[in-house]
Amino acid sequence: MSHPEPVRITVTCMGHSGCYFPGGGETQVFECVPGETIEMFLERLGVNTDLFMYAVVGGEKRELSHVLRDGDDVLLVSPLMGG
Amino acid sequence: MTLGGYMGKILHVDLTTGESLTVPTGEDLIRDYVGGRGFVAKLLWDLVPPGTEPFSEDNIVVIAPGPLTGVYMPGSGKVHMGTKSPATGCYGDSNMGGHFSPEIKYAGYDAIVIKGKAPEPSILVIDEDSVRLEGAGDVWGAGAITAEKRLKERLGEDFQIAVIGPAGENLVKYACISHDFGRQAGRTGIGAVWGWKNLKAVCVRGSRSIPIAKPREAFDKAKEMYATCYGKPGFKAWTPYGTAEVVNWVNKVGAFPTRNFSETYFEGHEGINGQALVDRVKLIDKGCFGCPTPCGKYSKAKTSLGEVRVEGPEYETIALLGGNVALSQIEEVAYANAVADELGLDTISGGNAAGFAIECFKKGLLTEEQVGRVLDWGDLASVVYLLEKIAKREGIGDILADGVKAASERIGGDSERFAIQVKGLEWSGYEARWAPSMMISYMTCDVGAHHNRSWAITHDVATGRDNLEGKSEKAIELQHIRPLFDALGLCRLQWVEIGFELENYAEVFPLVTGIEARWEDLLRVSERIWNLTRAFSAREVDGFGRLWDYPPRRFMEEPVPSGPAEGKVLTREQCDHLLDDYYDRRGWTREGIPGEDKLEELGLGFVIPELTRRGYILK
Amino acid sequence: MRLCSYSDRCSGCKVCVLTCALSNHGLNNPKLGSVSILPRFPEPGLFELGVCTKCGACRDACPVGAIQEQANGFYRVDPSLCVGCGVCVEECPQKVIRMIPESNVAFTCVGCGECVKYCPKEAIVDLDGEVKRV
Repeated sequence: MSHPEPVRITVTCMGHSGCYFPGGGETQVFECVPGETIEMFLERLGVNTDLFMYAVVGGEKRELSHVLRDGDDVLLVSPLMGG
Repeated sequence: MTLGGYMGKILHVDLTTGESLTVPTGEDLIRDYVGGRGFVAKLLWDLVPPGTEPFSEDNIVVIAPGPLTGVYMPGSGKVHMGTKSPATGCYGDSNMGGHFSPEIKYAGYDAIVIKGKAPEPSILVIDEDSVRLEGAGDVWGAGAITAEKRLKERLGEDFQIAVIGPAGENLVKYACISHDFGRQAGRTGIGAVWGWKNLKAVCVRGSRSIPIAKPREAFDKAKEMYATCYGKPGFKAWTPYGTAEVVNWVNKVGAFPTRNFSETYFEGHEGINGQALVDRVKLIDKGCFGCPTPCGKYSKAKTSLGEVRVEGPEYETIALLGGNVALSQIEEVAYANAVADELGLDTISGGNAAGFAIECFKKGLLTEEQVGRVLDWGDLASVVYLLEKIAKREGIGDILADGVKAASERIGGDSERFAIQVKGLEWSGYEARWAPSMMISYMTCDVGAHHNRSWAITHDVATGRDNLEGKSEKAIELQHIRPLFDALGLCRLQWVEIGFELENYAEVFPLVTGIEARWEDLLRVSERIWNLTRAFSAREVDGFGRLWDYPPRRFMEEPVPSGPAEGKVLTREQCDHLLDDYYDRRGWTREGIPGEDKLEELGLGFVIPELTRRGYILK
Repeated sequence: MRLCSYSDRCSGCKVCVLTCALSNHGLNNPKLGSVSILPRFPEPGLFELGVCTKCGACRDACPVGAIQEQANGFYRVDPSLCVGCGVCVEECPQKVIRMIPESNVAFTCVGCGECVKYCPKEAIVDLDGEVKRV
């Protein structure tokens, strides 16, 4: 029986939706289920996926459908407008 | 005593006589109102005689930087302008970036107050202590961008210029002030007040340094602030796209103005989103004074109607001159943006007026004969035609130039239902039938349906979009934080967009000014200003109050027909629930008038006799 | 250090000149900063950005010999010799020399690198890589 490799990621929230993220928006380490997308990850934490527009993973812009990989550095970007 | 951050005097100009004088910036004014929006609110209350017509010599325009404007720190390039609004008849203001505001400080002023009416089309030239009116000459009648270029050639590149376009000259009630080839004080029709006053432009130059209370500490703090901004993950992620970045998300949550707000999801949004902007039209990032994260995108776009260069389009323009008229190509939105900028029209109200007219046409309430052509959704030529007719007040444009509320009264039928406005000011880029906190924010915004006092959709998403509880409370909280930036003379985008912490502003304020105020003290000032602007509108509009706070009937009676927000509506009863909660929390009467206790508590007791005299019950 | 400016990156924010004036003169006044930003709008739509290239034109132009090369290759105006004639201001091809009103003495870029450290767009860089954006 093979054991899937663990998937560890760091998550940081950019902008104000961080205050609705468990533990706040500061950088935290999470363990993910292999094959999990950002959207699935958020749902598992009970976070409304509409709180974030998209993610930046390792400096690259990604949709929330991005499949998380071990070592991903994930920035979740809040929608907010100034005017 | 001159405090740090303040230049110590306010310039008063009477356009009728051409005379000007300066008065010291009062210590009470500074303590109670800080600057910027606070000065605008207090000077309007003090200097506009009650019952003044917006288009009259007695109405004034206040142009006010804040104490942090022009100071070395992120986002210090903002100016606040205010007047009794021709669009609403209420308190009116608008905010603008660029480099105009710091220049006012370098010229030596904390605010400029303009009254009267020039005997002929004129420009006001403020060259430090030399203040003079000049004939406008060949810039009268010129587009705003063209006029700014000509005035730079006439006066010198180092003048900072704010100017109106033909829409302002022709008293369009949503004519804007334009500056720096693409920055605008867009809202509430201040440009029309300039136009009525025969004031084409205000041109400012200064070379003074701004005094700083604790120069070494303030400098170190500012450097730390920039370094903090550069270290934010969002610094690189957000800046290239600017505000257009949010287009996809607003569609995803069903809040994107589409076909005059009849729908809230635009199928063509991928052609006008942040990626399309960056890939297809953007030339450079264009920043305001002191900005680490420039939201401005200077662009070049080619369409069937020609090629334009334009600053933008930013989010609001994409929403109102994109989705709201169903334009699905970023080049076409940029073209309409450039047309509106040159004409001197607010793109938010202009996009509303165009969408409203197209819907009226589609419903048979306007005919081809009345309009002068066929109008259609997604047709750039229709949009440009309408904007030009509006700016010139020709034919149908003359009706639309008074705003959608007034236009609906003349067009009739059921058009009032889909005239999308509050208090007579057209709605900006976030449909709110499924966002109660955003809805109450729009309903109670002091200038009319504008988003910048409180932007609360994420709060709605996080706390349940069908849930009304706590929604008014959040709106009030934001209505004190966000406009505080307008009093300080700062841009709030570093805080809003990349999560730059509010504590930074609290720390730097005493270092610059020497005033030992805590953030809570400044929020108190913001609450004072909010109550004063409400009192001003009550003073100026007979029977003002609750009735002025409802959204258009479309939002209370028509469920969203399709898309992510399908079936959502906020009924009048639900709006009433939100309003009751809002007024109670603010210490206002259920009629929406600031209560006597609240006014006394905020040091606004001086408005009580005037409001009582006008028949308001404040208990 | 060798300064290089990229006009296509400049957003016109003036952070460079503000930092410069505060670092070198202790004054909150962007007009005293020794970087030149010339807006070119509406067309072509960019800011022409100029920084000191150590060309020495100021030294050659100074009628009283008040401008001398420093060890880092940048030039320095000796305030005790400068007569405030402004010839160097006119002759500087990059337009980065300023007259400081308080002293009526010219000031040119001394290569302190503060503009490089704080330009948000990295539009001013040190080609030698000794100084970088914070």
